[in-house]
Amino acid sequence: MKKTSKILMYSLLILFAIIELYPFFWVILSSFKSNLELINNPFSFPEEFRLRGYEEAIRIGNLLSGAKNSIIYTGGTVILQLTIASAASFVFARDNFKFLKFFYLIILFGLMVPSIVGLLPLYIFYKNLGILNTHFSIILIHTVLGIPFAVFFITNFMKSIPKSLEEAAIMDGANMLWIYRKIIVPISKPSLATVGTFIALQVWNDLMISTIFADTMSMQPITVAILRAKTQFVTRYDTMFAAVVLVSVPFFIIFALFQRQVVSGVTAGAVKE
Amino acid sequence: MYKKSYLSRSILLLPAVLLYISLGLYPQIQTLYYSFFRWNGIGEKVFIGFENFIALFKDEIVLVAIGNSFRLLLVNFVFQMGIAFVLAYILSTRLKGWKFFRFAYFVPCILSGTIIGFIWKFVYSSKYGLLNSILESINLSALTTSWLGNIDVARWAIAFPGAIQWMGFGVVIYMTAISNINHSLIESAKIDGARNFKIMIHIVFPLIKSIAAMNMIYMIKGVLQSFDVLWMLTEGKPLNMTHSMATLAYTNIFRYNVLGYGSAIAFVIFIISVILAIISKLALKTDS
Repeated sequence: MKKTSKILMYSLLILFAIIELYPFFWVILSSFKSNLELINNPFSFPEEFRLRGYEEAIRIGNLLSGAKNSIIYTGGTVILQLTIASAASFVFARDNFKFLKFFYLIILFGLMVPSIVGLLPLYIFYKNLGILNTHFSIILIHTVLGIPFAVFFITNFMKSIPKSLEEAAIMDGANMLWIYRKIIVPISKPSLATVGTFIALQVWNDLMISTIFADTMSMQPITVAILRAKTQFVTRYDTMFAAVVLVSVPFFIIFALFQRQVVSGVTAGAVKE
Repeated sequence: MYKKSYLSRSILLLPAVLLYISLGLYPQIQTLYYSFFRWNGIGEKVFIGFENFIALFKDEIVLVAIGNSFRLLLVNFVFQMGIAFVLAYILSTRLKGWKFFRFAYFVPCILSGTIIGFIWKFVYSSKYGLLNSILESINLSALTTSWLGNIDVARWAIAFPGAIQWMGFGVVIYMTAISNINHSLIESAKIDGARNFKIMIHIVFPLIKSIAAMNMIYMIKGVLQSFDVLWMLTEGKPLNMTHSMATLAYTNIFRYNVLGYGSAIAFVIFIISVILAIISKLALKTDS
C-alpha cells in the first residue's frame, strides 16, 4: 500500500515535470538542427551542433538592444516604485488624517482593475505631450500600474513594525522624513525585496504596454523583439529556436542563482495577507 | 505621535498619490466615459449612451471572446488551483527530490509569457510541431490537427500554455501555506487511520482556504487580463475566434481604432473580474 502510493506520487510529479520542461528541452535541441533534420528526426539529438541559427538571431534579431531596453525599464521601474511607494506607505501605515483613508481606498481599488482599462486615454495623453517612445514615460506607466500592489503590500508590512522603535526618535524631535530614512526603510527591506521581485518580473515580462507605448525599434524591450522575430523568421526554424534560447538563458541563470529569494519573495507576497 | 508637519508628510505621500490619481485612476474613469461614445480617434466623439454596451452583447465575436475567457478561467482553475494543490501537498511531505520538482514547476513562471507563447506555437505548429510529431510517433496520426488553425480545437488549445506556465506559482504558494499549518493536526489524523487523500481534502485544504481565495483572486485578474501568451499564439486568429476579452479590447482599440467600443469591452472585463472576485471570496469564506 505504502509503496504503490509512493509510485503513484512520483509518476504524478514526473509527468508534470515533463509537461513543464520538455518543450524547453526540445526547443534547445531543435535550435541546432536544419529544417530538414527537424522534419526527419524531431526528437533526436542534432547530428552536429550548427550555430547558424544563433548567428542569424543575434545579427538581425535586435536582441541586444532589446535586452538593454528591458534592463532600463525593469531597473528604472523598480527604483522609482520602491521609492515613492515606500514613502507613501509609511504615511498610510502611521498617520491618520482626513482623506488619508480615502486615498488609501482609492489605491487599493486599483488592485482589481485590469491593466488594459486605462491604456487608451494614457496613450492619447502621451501622444499629445509627444512623450511616446521615451524610456522615462514607459517607466512611469509601469510604475503607476504597480502602485496599488506595492502600496498595499508595503503598508501592511509597515503596520506590523512596532511603534516603540520610532518613539524614542520622536522624543528627540526627529521629523517623519528622518525617521522614514533612518529607521523605517532599513527595517522594511524584506518587504521591499519582495515587492521589487514582483515588479521586476512583471516589467521584464510585459508585452502589452511595450507594444503600445514603445513603437520604434530602438525603444522596444526584448519581449517585443521576440514578437517581431515571430514574423521575421517564419521559415527559419533554427533562427527562431535560437532566439528563444538566447532570451531564456539569462532567466534560467538568474533564477538558478536566486531561486530562494525569488520563491520566498513570491510566496511572502501571497501568503502574508 | 508625530508632529503635524505638513511638509514632510506631503513629500512622502504626494508623489505616489498624485501619480496614481492622474495617470492611473483618471485614465480608467476616462475609459468608462469613452465607452459611451462612438469614436474612431480622429473625428468627433458622438455620444451614444449605452449603445456600445448593447451592441457588445449582440456581437458574436465578443460573445466568443467572453466564452474563451471563461474557458481560460476553467483550464487555469484546474491547473493553478486543483493540480497545483495536489502537487504541493505531495511535495510538502518532503519526499526525495522535492526541491528539483519545485524548481521544475516554477521555472516557466519566471520566463515571460512571450517566450512561453512562442515555444507553444512550435509545440502546436501543424507542420513540424512537437505535439503532432509525438502523436505520429505513437501511431496516433488520426489525432493530429492544426491545433491553432482549427477553431474548435484552438479555443481550448490557447488556454493550456498559460495555465501550465502559472501552475508552478500555485504550487509554490500552496507549499508555503501548507508548511505554515499546524502539523499535529495531520499527524493525529494519520494516527486515526485517515487516508492521505482524505487528509488532503478534509484537513489540509480547509486550513489554507484563505490563501486559496487570495490565489484565486490573483488568478482571475491575471487570466482575464492575460495578453502575452495569447498574442504570441494566435492574435485572435482565425476569424477573430480565439480572442480573449483582453486581446479583443486591445485589437479594437489599437488595431481597428473603434475606441468607444473597445473601451466598453475593457470596462466589461473589469466588471466581470470584480464579480468573480466577490464570488470566489464568498465561496472560500473562512469561518473564523
